[in-house]
Amino acid sequence: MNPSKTQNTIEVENIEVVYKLEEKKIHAVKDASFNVTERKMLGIIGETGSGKSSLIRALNGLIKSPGDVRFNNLKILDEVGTKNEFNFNKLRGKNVGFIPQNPFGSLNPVYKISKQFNFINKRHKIYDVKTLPDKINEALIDVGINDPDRVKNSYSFELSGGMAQRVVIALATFSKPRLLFADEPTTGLDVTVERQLLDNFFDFVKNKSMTLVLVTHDLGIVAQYCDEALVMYKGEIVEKGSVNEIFKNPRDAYTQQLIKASSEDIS
Amino acid sequence: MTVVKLLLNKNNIFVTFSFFILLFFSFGSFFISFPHDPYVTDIANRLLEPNETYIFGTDEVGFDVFSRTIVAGKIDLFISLSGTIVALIIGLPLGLLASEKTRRAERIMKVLDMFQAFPLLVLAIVIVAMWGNNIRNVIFAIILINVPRFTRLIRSEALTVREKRFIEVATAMGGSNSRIIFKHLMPNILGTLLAQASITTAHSIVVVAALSFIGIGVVPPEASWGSMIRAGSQYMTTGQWWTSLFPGLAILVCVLSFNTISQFILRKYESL
Amino acid sequence: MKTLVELNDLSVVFKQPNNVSIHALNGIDLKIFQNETLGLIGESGSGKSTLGKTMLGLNPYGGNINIFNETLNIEDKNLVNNIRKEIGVVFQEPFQSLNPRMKIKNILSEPLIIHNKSITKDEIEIKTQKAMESVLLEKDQLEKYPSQLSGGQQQRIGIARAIINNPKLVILDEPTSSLDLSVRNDVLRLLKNIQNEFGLTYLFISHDIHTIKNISDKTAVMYLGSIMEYGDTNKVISEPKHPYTRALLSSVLSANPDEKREQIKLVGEIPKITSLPKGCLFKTRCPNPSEDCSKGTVERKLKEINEGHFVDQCCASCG
Repeated sequence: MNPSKTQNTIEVENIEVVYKLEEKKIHAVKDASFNVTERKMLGIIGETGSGKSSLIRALNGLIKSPGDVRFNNLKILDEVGTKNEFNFNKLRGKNVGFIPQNPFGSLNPVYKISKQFNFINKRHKIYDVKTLPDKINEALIDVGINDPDRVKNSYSFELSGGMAQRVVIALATFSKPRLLFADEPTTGLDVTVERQLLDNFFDFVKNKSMTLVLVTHDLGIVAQYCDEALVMYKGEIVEKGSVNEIFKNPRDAYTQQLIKASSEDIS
Repeated sequence: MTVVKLLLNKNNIFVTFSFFILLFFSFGSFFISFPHDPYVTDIANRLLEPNETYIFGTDEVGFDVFSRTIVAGKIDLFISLSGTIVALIIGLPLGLLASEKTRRAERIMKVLDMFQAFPLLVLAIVIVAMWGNNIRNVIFAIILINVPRFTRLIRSEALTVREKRFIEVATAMGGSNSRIIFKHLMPNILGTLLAQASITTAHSIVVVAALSFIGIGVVPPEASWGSMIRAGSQYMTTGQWWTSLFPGLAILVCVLSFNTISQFILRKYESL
Repeated sequence: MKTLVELNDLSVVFKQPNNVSIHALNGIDLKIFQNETLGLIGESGSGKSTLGKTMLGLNPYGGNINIFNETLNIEDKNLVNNIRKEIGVVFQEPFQSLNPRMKIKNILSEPLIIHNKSITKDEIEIKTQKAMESVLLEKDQLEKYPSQLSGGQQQRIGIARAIINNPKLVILDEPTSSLDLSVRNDVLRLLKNIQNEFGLTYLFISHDIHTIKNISDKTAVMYLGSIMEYGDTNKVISEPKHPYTRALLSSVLSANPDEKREQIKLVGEIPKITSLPKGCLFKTRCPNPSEDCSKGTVERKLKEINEGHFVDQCCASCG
């Protein structure tokens, strides 16, 4: 892969995440740098302790880290932790969307779904109040929810896992962001539900011309849906390339071991 | 051995300090030779400001505030600690039994609810007032107040632990009820228990002081922080601040010490 | 093949405080044969975990459970205890299954002591060391606490504990689901080896098709508390006859970018376990229900369509 440093790349430079636990320092992410081609889908593969969740949180500015993310010459992370973070927050929901792991953790159980859309709409001034209800319905249909009216008027705990995750995706993409981060969006979902959700999700992302960075431990998801991938191990990026390169010709020993384990027949 | 190592660790300086303060108040009176007998009055030298001979000054009847503060510590701490420990010994089996899914457990909780419907502090006052002002009755009052508290706490901790997977495994393996209680439940609630015991002792110190402040329990000539504070309270406005202040500070310092120890226990326990 | 466990028309209903009944198991007929691994596969709400727990006498049930030639009766505490001593259990989250305040050596010796109160210290030492060897762990780990071990090591302890008494049956409920991929296969290999070495029988419960394919001799596919399909694993996986099995298998994402599989989509979502469809449980999701099925007149039962390959009789005709 030849990352072209043109307008069409998102450049991630020197991200580092360190946690302090009592007297110990944990280097969750050690100097991560990579590029994402716009409108492509990048899968970040890693097992537990690889640092992938910390990385994606740092990219979204949820964790402070040195280094930066450059998006069309706009430095996204510059303002995190400063008094200008307010400006970054405007950018965050609007141009950069984030889909976290557990939908029930990210949906507020005391508000109806429609209200949560209202909040986002108000914050980023996306749609006119009159057209809002229709736009909400559209957004829900786009993520594969066939009865948007019922879901709109429900509370999060009334929804199934798959439904809730779809709602979260709809909320995260409501402002039509250009860049979307997803942290293990299908963990805990049943196989059939997960597959249906993913089929729909990746079509959706393609249709809206979004750039996606997805973190997962599931090699299947990356193999089937992503264009590019990178493999993390103990805080470091050990391999990056197109999905074909990585899955068919892995160069790093850890990557090779991982790919082998996923299709291994142990009988 | 590990306890000594922990205390010597420079990060735990506050805990070590707390320990020594408590040791000082508990046992100091046995080792220190006081320049003035804490039980001897000296009207001629009443209400003297702190000076070289009387470090903390004297009170209205000429008692040496310094020696009495320390002697009071011995008594007050003894009452608080022993009351708390006995309450714990009673509350522990009650709490464990109350965490089971049996009718006995429900009965225990009903009795507890009825019991706690009374204002326990008032009940304690009544009991001590009726049965006489002595140390034994104050300890009894402390036990009375704290048994329900411990029972509830232990029950709720035990309930939480019972939900854990390894308890299910122990049952699935054929483990008996007593095995589950002693080998699995208890080790997992011990830390919280000890931490709570420490806090409860701190609370009991204040209760004991409150009781003796209103003249119940340990009364002069026996030394007790509460009664000392009371005796000195009327002189606060006339400028003799030392008579109430020092016993008050002693209470403060001991309560803080127990709280520090409690936090330390919790932190060490949870780090496993 | 000797039958170790036989379940006949097994049903489990949990009554919730607000009078809602959860029908966790609905008329299960199943046999577990000695020295074999039976894989139970299903999604959430399928009842696969409940099945394992019911065999341990952990909840009341309807129907018949015949285990080790005894009929299970949960009122008979002695019987239940004796049966439990012959069953080893391994659960999903290795760390949660181990008492965090117990040293490994005590965790392992516990089943020994429960089984035989008069066991000597020497015997305990020998057996625990042997158990550690069979799961490929060093003896010095015995002095450690669970939090000092990795996930894979913790799970090995769970396995060692389960087999230390040479149980007749080992129930494994999602034993590798929380483990990293690289560790998973090692643990599966280990399980296979000790099964051969000690002649164990496994009931292996999982939602992951790849895992089930790797370890089970026979597979039962569960849906809404009922068995939809049962047979030799390679037959069920390569020639699934039930539409649910087919849909399940088609949903799996291959780690080979060239191998693209179209998902067979099922209609609707899993119905709530509080309100089950009448008759065929699968009819609300079936892409092609027959007339009898929609009317609810077909009785729920497994029909043998090929030798050793069983499918729910309603769906056998629809699929």
